[in-house]
Amino acid sequence: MFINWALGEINLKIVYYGAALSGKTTNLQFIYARTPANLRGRLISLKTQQDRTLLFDFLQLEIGKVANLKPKFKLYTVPGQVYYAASRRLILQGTDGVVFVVDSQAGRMTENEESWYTMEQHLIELGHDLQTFPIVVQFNKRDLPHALPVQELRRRLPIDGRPCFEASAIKGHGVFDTLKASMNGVVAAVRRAV
Amino acid sequence: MSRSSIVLAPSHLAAIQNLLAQLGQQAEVRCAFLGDLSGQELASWEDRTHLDVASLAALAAGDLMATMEIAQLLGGKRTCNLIVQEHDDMTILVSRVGEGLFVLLATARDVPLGWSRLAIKRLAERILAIVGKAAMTPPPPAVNDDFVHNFAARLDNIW
Repeated sequence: MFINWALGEINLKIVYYGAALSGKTTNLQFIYARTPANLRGRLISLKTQQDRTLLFDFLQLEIGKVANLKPKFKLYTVPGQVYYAASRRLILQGTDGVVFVVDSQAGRMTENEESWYTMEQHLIELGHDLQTFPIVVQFNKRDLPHALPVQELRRRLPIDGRPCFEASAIKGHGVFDTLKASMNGVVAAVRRAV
Repeated sequence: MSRSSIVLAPSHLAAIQNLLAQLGQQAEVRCAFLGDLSGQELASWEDRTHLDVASLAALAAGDLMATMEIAQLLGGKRTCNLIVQEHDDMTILVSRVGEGLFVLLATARDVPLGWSRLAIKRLAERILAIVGKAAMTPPPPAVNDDFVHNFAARLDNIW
């Protein structure tokens, strides 16, 4: 978080985290496509030749003036592939909230679980308290035929009482519900902190 | 590692802004800005408007962090302090400022590299002196319950 009192800006960072191909970049692409141009910056994607995220995707959103402050959100995705662990840790640095994107397909649970535990590990290393840190969970790819029931996903991941949303990011379903919950959670956490 | 949080009073930001602007008067500087390693832009000066500073800050922070990680994986013992990129028409330097900040300086190609290196080193030292004092200032409680409520309503209006 960075608050520029001279300009009345509050800058906050949200990272979309999750296993490879879970739909993190697709979330950002949909947000970019459906947000008025005056409220968003460029969507920056550092990709490999295979179109996978190499370092991160980045998108800045402005919300307009709220109670004399101008909130600005920097949205990042992390690369999902296992071998990019170092990059994921770097991008989580300084984040104010996380959206954890779950791939709902039956064959992807091991990757989801592994990704969840590495996220927790990185957040702890960065000094966050997991009990209070705002993490929103998105169950993505609900439209696919082999999607596991949500109850099964909840059972397999230590989600506890965190906000959860079903989504199909490629169709846009649930994308903004997830984003708004994350933004509200981050702002509430800032409120508690100051 | 503890979580970083930066608190800069308007006077501190103005002082940093002045330092960046002074640099722009001494040589042909394209842009100079201060950011933190999480990718937030804090203060900037540019010779033309409409630079996408938010994206620049995210990319420069990622660049510096990635370079630091490369050095660590190769067994580097010293902290990475400076990245230099020499392009056809400009030179870009990115330097760490203390533990959590960085400064980026882009100069025209005909500005001697030695000058740019010295300039960014001194700039980093001067910024660090200002930030060091600023870190002790507590933030005013502007994010109150009204803000939280109005913010949620605003989001519903947009999406």
